[in-house]
Amino acid sequence: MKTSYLFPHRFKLISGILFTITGALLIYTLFDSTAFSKVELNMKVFAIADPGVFEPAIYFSWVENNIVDEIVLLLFSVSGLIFAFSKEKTEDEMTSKIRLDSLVWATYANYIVFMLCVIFVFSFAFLQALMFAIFTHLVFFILRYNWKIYKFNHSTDEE
Amino acid sequence: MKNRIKIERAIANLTQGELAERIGVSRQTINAIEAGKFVPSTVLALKLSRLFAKSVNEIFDLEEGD
Repeated sequence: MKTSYLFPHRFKLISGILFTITGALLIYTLFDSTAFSKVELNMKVFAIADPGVFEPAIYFSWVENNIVDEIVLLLFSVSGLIFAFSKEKTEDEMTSKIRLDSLVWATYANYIVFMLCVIFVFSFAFLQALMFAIFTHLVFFILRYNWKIYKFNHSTDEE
Repeated sequence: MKNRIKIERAIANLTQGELAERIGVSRQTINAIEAGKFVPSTVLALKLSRLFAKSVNEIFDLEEGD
């Protein structure tokens, strides 16, 4: 089956490893908020907006910033997208159906969790929840899709 | 939707895996179609029709509620 929007199957393993490592790092920062500042990689970067807590707000100009967190977040997003949307070994309409079903399911699951956060989580923890809600969509999809594909690939033969 | 793929496959003396390879899907997909868990696309139905040399209507049939 021809699909233009999927990545080749050979990317699945490497992106999966990278996704797990960067995901583990992000979870670690939940418990240790200074984790990212332990590695210094300061660079001049272009900021569209950098409101600052104690300094005046800066818009559309160059600022000094530790880019470790940016790198981790970008690696996490890119590897997550590739891992989520790479082809199966045998790509056919059944895998497409499982992919679509899982995407719908993940969207519902993510919004249900998000609405629970709206109701039960407040102040800074809510901002953190908002950030995580962006990634959990992909995470829910990956978990559900791979579980279903695993079950499908191990479906019993009648012969 | 009902289908006679399992019967046609037996007549043609093909395993699920062999049939899958001939029409470019996985063995599990054939299994799912035969079990009625998955309704194939028109393209796949026509490929099966050509392979078994039977019309699509002879292989697939609507059920009550379709």
